[in-house]
Order: sequence, then C-alpha cells, then structure tokens
Amino acid sequence: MILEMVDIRKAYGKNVVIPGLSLTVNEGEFVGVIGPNGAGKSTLFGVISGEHVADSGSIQMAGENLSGLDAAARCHRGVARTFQIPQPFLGLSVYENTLVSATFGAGLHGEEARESARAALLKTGLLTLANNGADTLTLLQRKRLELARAIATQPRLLLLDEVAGGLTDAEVGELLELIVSINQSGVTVLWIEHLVHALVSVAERLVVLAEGQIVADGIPKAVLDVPAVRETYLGSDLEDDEADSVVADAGGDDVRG
Amino acid sequence: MKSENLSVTAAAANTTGVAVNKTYWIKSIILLGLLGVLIALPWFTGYSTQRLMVELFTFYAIALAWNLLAGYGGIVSVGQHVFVGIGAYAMFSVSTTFSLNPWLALPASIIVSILFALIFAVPMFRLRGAYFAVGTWVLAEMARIAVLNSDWLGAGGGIPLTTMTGISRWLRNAGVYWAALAVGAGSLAVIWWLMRGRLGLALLSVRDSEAAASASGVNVLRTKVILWVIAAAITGTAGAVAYMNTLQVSPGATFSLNWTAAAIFIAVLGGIGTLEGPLIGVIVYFLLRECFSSYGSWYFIILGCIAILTMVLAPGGAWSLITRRKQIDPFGIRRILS
Repeated sequence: MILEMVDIRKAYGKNVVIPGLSLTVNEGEFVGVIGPNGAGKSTLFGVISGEHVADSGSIQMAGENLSGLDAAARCHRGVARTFQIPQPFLGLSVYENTLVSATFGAGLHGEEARESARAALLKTGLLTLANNGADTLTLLQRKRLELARAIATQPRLLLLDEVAGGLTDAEVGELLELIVSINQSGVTVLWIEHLVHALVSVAERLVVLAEGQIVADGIPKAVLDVPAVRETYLGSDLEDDEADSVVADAGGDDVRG
Repeated sequence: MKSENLSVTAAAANTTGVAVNKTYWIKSIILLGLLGVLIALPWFTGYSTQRLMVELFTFYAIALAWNLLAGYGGIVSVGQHVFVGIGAYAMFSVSTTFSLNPWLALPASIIVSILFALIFAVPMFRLRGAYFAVGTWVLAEMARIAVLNSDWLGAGGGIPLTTMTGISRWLRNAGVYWAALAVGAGSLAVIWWLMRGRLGLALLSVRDSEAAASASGVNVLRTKVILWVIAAAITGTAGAVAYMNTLQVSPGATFSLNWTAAAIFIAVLGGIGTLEGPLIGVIVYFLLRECFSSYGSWYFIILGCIAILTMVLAPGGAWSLITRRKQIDPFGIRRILS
C-alpha cells in the first residue's frame, strides 16, 4: 500500500477537526473523497502533505514513516497536492511556477527541469500562457496551474482539492480525462470534489467524511446507497431510483452539505 | 508533424539567440564603461566626493542585503546593524592585532559575519514574524553591550585603525573608495548571480507563498538560513569598509540602529523584493540627504513622511511606478520558456 494512516487526530485549539481517522490507500488507486463543508477533508490533505502536523497517530507512505517530515520532504518522497484556494507564486510567470516544482519537487536540473515544467503546462492547457505573470490568470486558470505544479513534481500520490469547481461540463470532461491518464500512468489519486457525479464517473473508490470521521468507504455505487450518506447528500425521503438520477445529474450546488 | 515543430522551435531559438547576444553585448559595454568611470573616479574628484561615494556604496550594499532578506525571504530584520558592527570590529581587531594591512584584513569581516550568522540562526529562526524582528534587534543590542564591556575590543572607547598610518592620504581615500565600489558592485553581482540560479527560484517562490513553496519541494527553512548568511556577509563587509574611512570603531556608533533604519528606508523607497529598488532608493536617499540634511530634525520628519507616503501610495516603491506601466527586467533574472 502507498498510504497508511492510523488513528490520526488533528485539532486547532479546542476545535477537534479529525478525532481519530484511519485510512489505507493502495498504490495506483483512484479514490474520491466527499463530505460536507467542515468535514475535515482539506485538513486531511494538509496532514498527509505535511502542511499540518497531526496531534497523534501514525502516517506511513510506502512503508516509510512520514511523521516528522515537513511538506518539502514529503514532496520529495512523491506527495503532491493542490490547494483548494489556489496559491500561485504571483510574482512569477506561469512557467516559472511549474519550474519550481520540477526543480525542487522532482529534483531535476537544467534542460530536464525545463522540459518537465513545459510538459506539465502542455497537459493542463496552460502552455500558451507560459510567459504570462501568474497574477494575470483567472481563478479557473489558477486552479489548472495548481494541477500543473502538482504534476511537475512527478508525484506518486496526487492529492487534488476541488480542482473541478466552477468548470463547464466540457471542461470537466477534459479535466477528468487528464486526471484519469495521470492515474493510469501509475500515480495514486486522492480527489476531494463537490461535483459528485464527476467524481463517481472515474473514481474506483469513494470515501465519505463527516465530522472528521469516515462514515462510508467502498465502491462509489455502494457508498452512495449507504443510508447515512443518502441522508447527508440526497435527503432521506428519496426513493432509490430518484436518488440515482440525482447522483447522476448532481451539480455542485445540489450536494453541498 | 513532430519534426516540423522541432525545426520551427529551433529556428525561433536561433533568432532569439542572436537578439539576446546583441543586447547582451550592448549591456556589457555599457556596464564596463560605467565600471571604468567609477574605478577612475579618484583621479578626477576630491576626497569629499570619494567619501560620499563610500557611504553611498556601503549603504547600498546594506540596503540590498536587507531587501534580499525582507523582500525575498520574508525575513524582517531590524537588527542588521549587528553585522555592521561585527564586520567592522572583526576587521579592526584582526588588522591591529596582527599589524595587517586593513584591506588584507577584510576577509576576516566576511568570515566572522558568516560564523556569527550561522551560530545565531539557531535561536533566531525559532522565532516567527514580529518575534523574529524583535529578536534581531535584541541580538544587536546584546552584541553592542557585550562589546562595550570587552576590554580586548577597546570597551567603550573602541579601536582606532592604527595600521592605516604610513599610507598616503590619497591612496587611503582612493583605496577605501575602491573597496566600497567592490562591495557595492560585488554584492549586486553576487545577488544577481544567485537570483538567476536555483536559489533565486527558491527564494522567489518562498517570497510569494511559503505553503505552496514547501508543497512544491522547496526547503523553506534552509533557503532562509542561506539568505540570512549571505545578507550577513554582505552587511559585515560593507560595515568594515564604511569604518575604514573614519579610522575608529566604537560600540555606540558601529552597532547603531541608524544603519538598519537607513537600509529599510532605502529598500522601501526603491521597492522591496526587487533588485532594481535599492539602486533607485539609495540615489534618492542621498539626494535627499545632500539637499535637506541641514534642516536638522525637520530632515528626519521629511524622510519619515516620504517613507509613509511611499508605503501608502506606492507600496511597491519607486521601481513599481515603472513596472506598473511596463514589465521590464534589466537584470534578466526572469526565466522565459522559448
């Protein structure tokens, strides 16, 4: 397995966001993560990526203990993440943004680094904007830059935090294709997304978080049938068939917790 | 399809290559000409001009170092004068103890400043934000008090640079001027070279978002400590050269907050986080000083007002007034994908 978390606890002062969470992810898996706002999804990613330090519990990647390693060290071991609220390097160009990842994340030099940074821009459709300042990008372009930067670190484990929000259907389709192709190249993907219908169309496993705990975990179709999940996401009074169609059509607005 | 693309990019690279070469030569000739004029300055100017230029170059180097820390590393130090003092005292004591030519003792400033910075990086970098700023100031104050009570460093009276005797007045003034020129131009060259390399890329990313830099694999703490050490070396050497002309170091003047205050003023005025800013800032600072310093305390009130106005109206400093209209990069530190 690539990721093994046991009894992870994380609190900010008195506010316990994750009271005790265990999760195992196998190499090459494509895992969707859903849950209401404030369920601790982004905090979970923060704990995996090393942005936040867990209060207790253990976290291992490919058998190596990650606790005690900072975000940069975890990046070097293959953890890459996007930020829900994009954090581009605003004073740098789009290309320089990905060059940082290729240089320090993937540890590449010279032409190799330039080529890798360029490839990440090509994949995410940002190549034409390469030499523009990152501060000139729209919100959607910034989200794509988040993805480009994460790819350019050449990750083994990719943590995506709401990269599809606000996209049109066609754009979501392109994004899904890209992420599936990244997954098929051997990268394990964990993806937080409010667009449940997009997520379940590609994820082979769905994890539902509520109040920092996993309330359901399994094949997407089965998970969405769990009463507690239905209650949270779809309202308990729906019939099975109706619920399925809601799941299929669900837009971002329908599934907010 | 693929080979066609390749040949197109190859051709494009070629033409830009020629263009880059041409501007490169023009820039080089201008720079060398300017450097030649600056080197020849002692032969056609008086001592007072040379002394002013010494101040200008040393203030410039100290401001450049402060700007590097604050603008690129997000490290706000209000105690940079500790390195002015450490650097100056290192040179003075090595030179007088071993009867060494003061210029040959300058490397001692670099070495001692670097060692001091490395040792005190351990406690300092445990502090964050405002605490770091206060910490650096306390560090400088502690160093001043320690020197004040050290008989082997001359205590309150300081150290006179006795090894300067026997050197002709002209040579002393010209020599100090050349040392200052070397410090000013050298620190710009070092920082320019660093900014174009891996460290520069890391610094720029840390400047813009520490969280994202760290997530992209940049070792933020190591980057900051390297920066702190480089800034210390530059500030220490500049401090030593600044006191070569006065021939005397003393705890009160050498470990004076005024050094840091001037550096901050120059960097803020010119533009924090740019290579160009301190160059503009130092020129404006000296113009103001030459024009208004006779007004006494009013001069400081005017300086303060200008700093506040700059922060409110043009937070990016004077240089941002130019880049706001047109993106230019005279130092060529941007990386362009061709």
